[in-house]
Parts: sequence; C-alpha cells; structure tokens
Amino acid sequence: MRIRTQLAMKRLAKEATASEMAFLQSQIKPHFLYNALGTIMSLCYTDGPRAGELLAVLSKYLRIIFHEDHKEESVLLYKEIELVRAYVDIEKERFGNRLAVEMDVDERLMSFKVMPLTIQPLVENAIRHGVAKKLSGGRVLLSVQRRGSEVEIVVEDNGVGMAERQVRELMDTAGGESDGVGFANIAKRLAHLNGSRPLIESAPDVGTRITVRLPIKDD
Amino acid sequence: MITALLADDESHALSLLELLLHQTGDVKVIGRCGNGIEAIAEIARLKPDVAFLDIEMPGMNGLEVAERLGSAACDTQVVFVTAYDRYAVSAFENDALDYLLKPLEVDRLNRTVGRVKRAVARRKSESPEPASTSAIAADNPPAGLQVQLLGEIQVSVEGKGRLKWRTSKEKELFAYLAVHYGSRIHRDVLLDELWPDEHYQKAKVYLHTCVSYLRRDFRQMGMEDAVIYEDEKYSLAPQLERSDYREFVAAAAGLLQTGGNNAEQLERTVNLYSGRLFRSEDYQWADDEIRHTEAAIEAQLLRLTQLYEEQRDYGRMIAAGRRLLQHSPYNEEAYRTLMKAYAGSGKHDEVYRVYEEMERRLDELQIQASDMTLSLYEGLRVRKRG
Repeated sequence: MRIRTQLAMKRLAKEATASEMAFLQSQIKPHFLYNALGTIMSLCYTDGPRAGELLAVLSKYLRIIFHEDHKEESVLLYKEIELVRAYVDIEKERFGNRLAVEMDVDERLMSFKVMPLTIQPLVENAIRHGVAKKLSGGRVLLSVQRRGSEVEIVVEDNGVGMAERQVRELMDTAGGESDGVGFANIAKRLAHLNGSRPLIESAPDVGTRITVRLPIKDD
Repeated sequence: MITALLADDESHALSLLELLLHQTGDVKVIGRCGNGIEAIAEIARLKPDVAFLDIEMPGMNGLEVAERLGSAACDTQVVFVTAYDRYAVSAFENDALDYLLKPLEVDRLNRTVGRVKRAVARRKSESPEPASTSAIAADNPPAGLQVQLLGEIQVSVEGKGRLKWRTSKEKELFAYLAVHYGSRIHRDVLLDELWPDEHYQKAKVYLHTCVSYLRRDFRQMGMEDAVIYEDEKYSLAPQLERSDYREFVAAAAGLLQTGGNNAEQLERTVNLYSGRLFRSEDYQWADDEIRHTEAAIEAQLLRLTQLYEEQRDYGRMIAAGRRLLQHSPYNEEAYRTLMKAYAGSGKHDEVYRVYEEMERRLDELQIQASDMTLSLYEGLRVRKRG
C-alpha cells in the first residue's frame, strides 16, 4: 500500500515537472533565445555597451519567466507588461527599423490582476508571423483598456495578414484539445476561465487584429 | 579565395557572419542582402561561389531561394543558416551543401568553409564549360527512359532499373506533375490537392520534402533538375515530357482528327492503353482524367468492333469485343457486339454463353436485359434454326 502511494506521488511529481517544462518551453522558445544570443554576439564586436544592455534585458525576460509561479491563476498586469517590454526590446534590436511597436496601456490598470502569459504571446505572434514576414516590416500596436469589469487587450499589426484558410485553421486548433503553445494555449485557458473566445480579424497584406477580453480582479 | 553572398533580414546577423567569414581568411564577402528576392537577383548578377541563406526571411525564404537556384542550373553553392532546430533543416539538405545553426560557432563555420572550398575546387576541375554541358544534359533524356502512368506508376531507365519511391506522397506528387505536364502548377494548388487535411505550413514542409526526394531520385537515374520551380509554380523538366498516358492521349486526339475509320490506327492506339490510369492508387484529383481515358478506350474498342463487323473480320471483332468487356463488364452493347461476332463466325454455342454471362452480370445489378438485346438474341437463334 505504502509503495503504491509512493509510486503515485512520484508519478504526480513527474507529471508536474513535465507540465512545468512544457510551460517553460512554450515561453522560452529555443529559436528566440538563439536569435537573441546571436544578436548580442554580433553587438559584442560592434557595440559593446549595447551588448551589455541587451544582456540585462534578456536576463530580465528570463527572470520573469523563471520566477513566475505558473500555478498562479492571475498575475499583476504590471508584470505582464514588463515581460512584453523586455521581449519587444530584444526583437527591436534584431529587426532594426523594420519593427516599430507602440503601446497604449491604461496605467490605472497596472495593479490589477489578469490571466498570466496572455499579452506577450500575442505580441510575439504579431511580430513573428505578421511583421517579420513582410519585406518592409511594419508596426505592432498593443492596447490595454478597461471595458466595464473586463480588460480588453488588442494586438494589431500591419504585417502580412492571414488568408481565410489560415484564420480557420488557427480557430480550429484553438477550439480543439490542442496542448499547443501560443494562440491555441491562450484560447484554451480563456475558454476555461470565462468561456469566451479571442476575436481574430485578418486580411492578407493588410494585417491582423486579435482582441481578447479578460475579467479583472482587484486586490 | 572564395566569393560569398550573405542573405539575412537581420543586420546584426549579417555583420557577425561577415566578420567571422573574414576571419577565416578564405572567404571574401561580395554582397549582402536583406531578403530572398534581393538575394536571387544579386546571386544572378555577382555569381558568388557560395550563398549563405538565412531560412526565415520575408518575401521569399531561404529554402525557396535555394529551390529557385536549384532549377536555374546555377553554380552557386548554398549554405543554410538558421536558429531553428536542425531537424527542420535536414529535410532540405539536398538543396544545400551544408547548414549552420545560430548562434554561429567558429569551429563549425570553419568546417563549412572547408566544405565549400572543396566543392568549388571540384566543380572547377570537373567542368571547364559548365553551362554548355548542363544544357545538353538537360535537353536529352537518358536513353531508355520510360514513364508509365497507365496501370502501375513506374519510372525506369534502361540499365539503371526502376525508380524506387521513398514515400507514397513523392509518387503522388510525381503522378500529379506528370499528368499535368505542360502546365505549371501553383504551390497552393498542390497543397490543396495532395494534403487537403494538413495545415498549410506543415503541408508546405511536406511538399518541399517530396520535391527534394524527387530531385534526388531522378538525379540518381541520371537526370538533373527533374522538378522545375518558378514563380511559386512547379513543373516537370522537358526530359520527362513523354509518358504512356500522354502518348495515349495524343494518339486518341489523332483519331478524332482522322475520323477513326482506320482499324490499324485504332489498334495502335488501344495497344498503348495498358491499364486504368493510376490503377492501384486512390487519387481523387485524377477522377476526370481517369474517366476521360476510360471513356476514350471504350469508344475506340467499340469503333474497332464496328469496323471489323463491316469487314466481316469476325476473329478480330471477337478479340476487340472481349477487350471491351474487360473494361466495361456491365455494358450491354459490348455483349451484343460479341454475340453478333460469334454468330458471324458460326460459333452459336458461344452466342449462348455470352448471353448467359450477360444475364449473370446484369443480375448482379438486379436489372434485366433491354428489349434491343433480347430481340437481337432471339433473331440470332432464329437465324441459326432457319
């Protein structure tokens, strides 16, 4: 009996680690880290002080990811926005003047709590799949505003956009039991949280706008 | 000194690669591009020995650039550079001499430069006039090349044996391009037809893999650049123009022109038909072609029986009628023809057997013979008694 309990505990611990790892991997994508390191490496030869700054930014990004309690159901919006800023700083260094990011975040919301790791993946998608794929680059707009008892997050880009088929596929993976990362992961958690779905508006060569509404907790 | 062109949409990545290549002392960077479209133009203009292509670039990614170069009979070697997993690259290894992972490691980069040096030296010693020799090779298919689409799909070269497909999708892609020879097929059409249930990005990777399998397999059969890629469209090289299917279609078209009154010409055409198009496969995209060729062969065989009947050549009429039945075992007209042929040659017991066979077949479909068939049968029996 005791052995069985021990085995069960061991299995649970293993599963917890596995889910924790999956979670970390979803946030620290290897190619992001490799590209960031490549950029810093290059800066070491050309602009030492900037390389140092960027190392600090990357450390901050990693610290937020590592230190966040991933079992928490909500996190300070302030923390989320810090994560976004760190991410954007690194990507802007990589893409130079091909990437512009504007943020319009209602400062009064900073001490509210929201579902963690929602905003950064959306911004990441807008950069990677929208702007980076466009020859001339583009800009990403992040807006976080209060709408009644909810906070509305809008991430908009003027990148390559998506054809109907791609939008449909994105919604399909989001609806299914996918354990995917990024958009699917957000959609799944959102459905679990309040049954709502992210809104996708997109057109090829025009851009993409994703709107997500989260309930806010005041404490 | 090797000349190199670098393409990456990140300027820091370009600078670092240029610096590290410079440090090897073997490489001179003669061009830098920020995207794939520029890279294509610059490679054509500068003709570098090697192009270092980042895979993730806007407009045209590194894989597409390499593919374009591959079908342009270009002497530039390709090295991919990517921050992605090496497994994502390995499927495209055929299109490139080597690949490098970001962040770059100096030792690994030196190894790559060594490989490029050897490849460049080899090429220079092999072909004093690379352009002219490759042009000749491209125009002339290897002797004894056979492309068979009717019945089983098969490609063979005399003395080199049969092409062995690595995957069923590689075979299907070849079949698709071969049947549509003469038109260039857009990538998205191929994705929709061959991978209808697959996600777009995944399907693209599968397509790339199949294309590079095809190129590699045909290269082993002595054919370079079997698959041509241009403006996001795919087609087969001119050396693969001939197939038994296209020969049959051309011959059938020839019949229509001459009116189909020449039995010899008809025989030659029906003999080209060695079986249903893609007999052992389930290619839904080929439904139209299959129906058309089946309808054509039936019409040709029927026409043959009519010609032989006019010539009272009952032996050949029976042979053609039997073949027709093989194609359409539920075709009453085929049975009527065969009955007439046996009656004409005096084999009345065979007339009866054919009639019985027909009844059995029609019974499977729970239908009865038409009045036309019944009266023909009665007529033949009366004639026998009388």
